[in-house]
Amino acid sequence: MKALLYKDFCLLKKMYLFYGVLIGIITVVGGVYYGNSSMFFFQLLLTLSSVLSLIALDDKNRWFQYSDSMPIGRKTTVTEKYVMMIILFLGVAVIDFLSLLIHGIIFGDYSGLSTVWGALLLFWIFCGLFSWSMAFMFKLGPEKGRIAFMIFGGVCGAVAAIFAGFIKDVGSGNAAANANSSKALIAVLAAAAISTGLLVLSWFAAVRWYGKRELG
Amino acid sequence: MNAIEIKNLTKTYDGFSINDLNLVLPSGCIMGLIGENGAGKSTTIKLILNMIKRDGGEIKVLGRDNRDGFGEVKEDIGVVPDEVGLPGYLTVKQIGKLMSLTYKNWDSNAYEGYLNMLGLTEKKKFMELSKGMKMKLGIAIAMSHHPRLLILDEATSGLDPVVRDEVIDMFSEFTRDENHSVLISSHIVSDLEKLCDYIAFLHNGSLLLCEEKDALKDEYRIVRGTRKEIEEIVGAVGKKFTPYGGEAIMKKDSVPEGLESGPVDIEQLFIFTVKGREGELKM
Repeated sequence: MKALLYKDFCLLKKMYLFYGVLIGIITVVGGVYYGNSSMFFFQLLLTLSSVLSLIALDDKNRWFQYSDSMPIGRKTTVTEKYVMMIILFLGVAVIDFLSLLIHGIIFGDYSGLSTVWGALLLFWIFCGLFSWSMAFMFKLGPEKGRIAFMIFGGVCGAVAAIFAGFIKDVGSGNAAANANSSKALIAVLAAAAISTGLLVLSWFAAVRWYGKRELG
Repeated sequence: MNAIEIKNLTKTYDGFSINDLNLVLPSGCIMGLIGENGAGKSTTIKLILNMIKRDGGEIKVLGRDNRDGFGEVKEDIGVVPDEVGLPGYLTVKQIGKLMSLTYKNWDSNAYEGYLNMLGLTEKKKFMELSKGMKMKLGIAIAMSHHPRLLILDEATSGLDPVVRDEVIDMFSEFTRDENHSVLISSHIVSDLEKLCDYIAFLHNGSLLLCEEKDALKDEYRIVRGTRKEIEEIVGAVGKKFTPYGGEAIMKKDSVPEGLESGPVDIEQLFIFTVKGREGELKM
């Protein structure tokens, strides 16, 4: 696992500076227009794109075939990409938190920080949904797997649109006072729980599918 | 103990199959897998490494079934595939670090030593290396974790003759330890002839023969004569005709009296064996 994480972080550092800059720009914009869930959506879309690009790159470089001859199990190969996704998602969450904090310090308005927990839930929901595009990529290879990415990206876009109002309300403080009792909160928590299930299921599916794949 | 034991191996694809393959590589030996393109050499190697699933039969590598706890066994196997699949943006040094995190027995000093011996610089990115250099790096990686078994799929192709010679010496040195074994597939039969103790011929997914190289060379003779003389020979492995006469390869004890015969090399034996199956050779 350590070896694979090392490889992917080396590659991210060298190849995906572009993604980093884009995520940074979106973060700054998202910091200014806090509560805009579409900003979170684009951030996450780019984050997941980078993980999927790592899978595509591994496939293109024939790394999967090569690593299969090493003491690296296929389960480890799949799990590492899931771990990578979660690390990057959490990384984006931390960047968002910091950008909102800095925004608060500069403009004296800390209400944006209350969007962070909402955004984290949204992140987690996206993780669960997006993880299926990863599972399909392991099953079908990167070319066909990208179709799954489009589909699950679309679903995430719809989810982001559904929860946009909620995140906005939380951000503006309207829902902050009674957030714990709000139906929206329950809905988001339920969605997050379902998302956790989806994430775990997709991991199982990816391990099974990739385990059966013939790396010719 | 045998390094590799294959019994009744079968694998079927649409239009190609490995048929009932039986092969044994004893410890301390080097076996050369010879076959034309599409004969099933790479498929056999992938089946040995469990990269593709077999339909039937048994494969044991270093005494263990290759489907049962094979991760541990892979610590003792060094593999050089026909295409070394490393990320292009990693430097040779980073690749060393990656491998040190992959193999428990990784020896950084040995890696550096092989890099120096093969003329590779640590600062270069993998994508900046030529095909031959990539192959050399693959060999350095395969040797630097002190494996007991080396599996090489066309590892010497792409190397210039001087380096090929050095690499062959490295493999010979490797098998000085009687616990070390090598399975190598190559189109360059002369390399295998120089290096191998055992030779296996693969053709259309079937094993035509698998024997000790010296025994093979001792067992067979190439016979030359007129077209008529060669045509009359019965029981030849294969025949070849030219406007000036003909040649046949056959077992030493079956050579007809009065015909000129000489020692055979492995490349001739392979070509005649394969062509003998497909009909007579004509020039």
